[in-house]
Amino acid sequence: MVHLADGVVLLAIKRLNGERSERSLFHVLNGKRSATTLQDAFFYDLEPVFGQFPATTYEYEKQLSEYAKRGWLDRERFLLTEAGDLLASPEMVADLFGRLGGERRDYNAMTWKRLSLFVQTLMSREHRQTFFPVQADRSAERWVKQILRVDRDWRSLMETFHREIENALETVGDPYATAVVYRFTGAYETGFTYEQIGNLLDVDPYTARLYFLAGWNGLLKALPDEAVLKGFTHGLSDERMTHSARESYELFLKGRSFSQIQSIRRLRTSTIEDHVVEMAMYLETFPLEQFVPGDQIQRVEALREVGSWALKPIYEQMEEISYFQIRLVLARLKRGETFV
Amino acid sequence: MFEATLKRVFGYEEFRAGQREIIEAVVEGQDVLAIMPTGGGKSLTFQLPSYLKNNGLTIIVSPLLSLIEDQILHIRERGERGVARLTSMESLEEKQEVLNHLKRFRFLYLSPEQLAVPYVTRALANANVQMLVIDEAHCISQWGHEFRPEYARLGELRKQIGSPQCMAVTATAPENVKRDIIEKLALFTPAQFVHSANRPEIRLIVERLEKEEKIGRLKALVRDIPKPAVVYTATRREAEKLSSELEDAMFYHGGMSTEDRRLVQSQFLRDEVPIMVCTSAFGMGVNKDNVRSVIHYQIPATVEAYMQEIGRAGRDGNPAFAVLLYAEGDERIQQFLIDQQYPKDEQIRNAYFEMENGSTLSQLPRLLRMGEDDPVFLLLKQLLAERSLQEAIDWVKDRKRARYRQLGQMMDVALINTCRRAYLLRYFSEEKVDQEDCCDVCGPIVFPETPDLVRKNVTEWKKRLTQIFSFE
Repeated sequence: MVHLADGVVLLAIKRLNGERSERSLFHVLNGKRSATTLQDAFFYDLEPVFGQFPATTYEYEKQLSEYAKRGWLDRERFLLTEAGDLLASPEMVADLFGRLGGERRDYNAMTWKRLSLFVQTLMSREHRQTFFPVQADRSAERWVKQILRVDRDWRSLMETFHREIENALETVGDPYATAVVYRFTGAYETGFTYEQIGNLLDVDPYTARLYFLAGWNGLLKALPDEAVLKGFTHGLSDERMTHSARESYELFLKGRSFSQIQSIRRLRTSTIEDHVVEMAMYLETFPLEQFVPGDQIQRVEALREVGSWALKPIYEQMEEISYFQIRLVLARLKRGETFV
Repeated sequence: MFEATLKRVFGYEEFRAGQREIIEAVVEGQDVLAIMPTGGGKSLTFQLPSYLKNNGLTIIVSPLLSLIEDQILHIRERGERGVARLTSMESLEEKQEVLNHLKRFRFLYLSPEQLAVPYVTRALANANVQMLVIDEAHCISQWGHEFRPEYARLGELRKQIGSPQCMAVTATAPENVKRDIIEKLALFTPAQFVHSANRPEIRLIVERLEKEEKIGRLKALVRDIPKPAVVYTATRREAEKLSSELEDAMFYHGGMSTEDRRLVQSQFLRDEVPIMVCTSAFGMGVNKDNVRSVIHYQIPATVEAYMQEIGRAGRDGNPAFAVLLYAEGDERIQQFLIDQQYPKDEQIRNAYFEMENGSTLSQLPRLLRMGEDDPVFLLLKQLLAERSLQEAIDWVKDRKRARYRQLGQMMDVALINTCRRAYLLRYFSEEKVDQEDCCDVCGPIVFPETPDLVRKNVTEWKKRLTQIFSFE
């Protein structure tokens, strides 16, 4: 039996490089949409696992102490031991890690809830079967109800959905395809629990869960733009930027200045700064020079140690620069830009 | 006229035993106390009158989210749209939406906590309420096996919404609990309906073994007994462990994700999995008629819980089996679980001491190292509000003693050498009955041969996908 799920979490710890705390990772895994956590996910390549391991403080604590007990983790420094590193290193672990979509405003999760509930509802209706809904989500329920009210040629539409799912999963491949398909519930087939999918694929239930998440993310990505299935994402956004930062960004686009935005939105300076950092992280192009003088940008780049995203060592070696400004430069460096 | 409505709304040809009398009393406007065993068709007795009177809202107070969810599901399944709920799961806007349009609804389900929220109480006080139904009414009594502090205020809340007609329903209530319900809800000379707790179709079996033999016996037992079968255990961990050791079994407990829980329930309902290993979280409100056997791997904490759990078997009226596996010392698990539900003397003392010295209620959880929504802390909070230190300590001691006594009565069921059915009926103040195939003391019980349930068909994913999307 294969256990990759622990490896994925260990790899996340490894990527934090001892520069962030246990708490930081907790928020990343739970998908907390705060500036610090979004930045941690961005800088340390943790966006794929962002919000993919929701847990209570208690459960997280139990997990970490278990890792420590097994000799995988040095909790003092929040670094992996050699044994832990061994588990985080296989290519399979990094591959699965990379396939996880990470939570983006619930885009993947909500699309799944809608589609799976829709398939179950429609197929049960067609076969005149009463059914026990697999999803208990009110907004997904409302959404499905609404679209079913419209009179359409559901059969031919279902055939299209079927074809689109099959084609997309073909490119994603196994074990992910199996994990996704066996999660669906039809009129006569009930979906499998992660426990059962695990048995099917000879992995533990936690890994089975990740296979599903990876497969579902892969399917959504593999859908061509013109796919009818895209309708299930209607009204959802998969943007990483928070709503609030997006609002500030739009004011910038209208030509407002930093201080104008601050007074229009009645937010603290630090909040608007966080929004600007989000823009630096997520936007294709960003006018860095408007916020940091050119020579400072170059100094930050020169001072940064390869592989580190810690701010403090840079801050301590420079005068007249703020943490905010360092963050902006690092964000652009992280995106692959270079200024030297 | 009753029958016509029964047929039109519920699709049944005739009432089950006892339902009609209750409905008549409700329609006449009397307060009602109805004690009906699980599976007796309780919910129909308060739903049908709503269609007969067609005048106002029926409010149903229910203690568990899962219960509310299941009931609403069943109501919607028969095409009724006029049903809403107020629980901790709804957002503020959703609740407002419901409260602003109460006229649209026939049934409103809510938890006791929600009924106590001031703006909810106010909105209901101004609405046209036909009847207030208290489901699982035994929770109101400190002598009941599932006392819930949130239930204590229901009598007062009933007054606040204008003392509408009230119906209290529960599956089990010995004499003292019955008295408590009537008093606490201020029921006015209620019409009382007590159905026999006896379930003649269920054969009762207790097997006494050594601890080490239990798992082996369970494996053999689930091979032999008629299925579908439910195996009850005391803890989540044990449920998981047993299901991995049994063939064709799945586990179910409150710690699973909603989606997984629903998948398991659905598979069990559709006979896709023959054996379900679970904690007591499973079963509340699960309408599966053809459960053939219930096995208790651990002794339940009370006779009431035992009756409720074995009552999930044989609802279709066909023969069913209840097997309790008991090894000496098994009761310790239940003792431990009882102890965990109450604050320790030390914690009570500390809490009173802190409050005395000017700490606030909101600081308490941290000072006592307890979770804010830990039920034990909630209980402690209530004690602080209502009792002195000594009273609080005594109250907890009394409660624990009462719970131990109840556990002792359940132990008796396992240990006696006389008819187990007679003992159970006496517990509910009923006369014993004579029947064939009664219990293992009265005579040997033989399991009939039953066909194996359908096995899971596991195929390649493309084939499975085609099956799911097939209109054939």
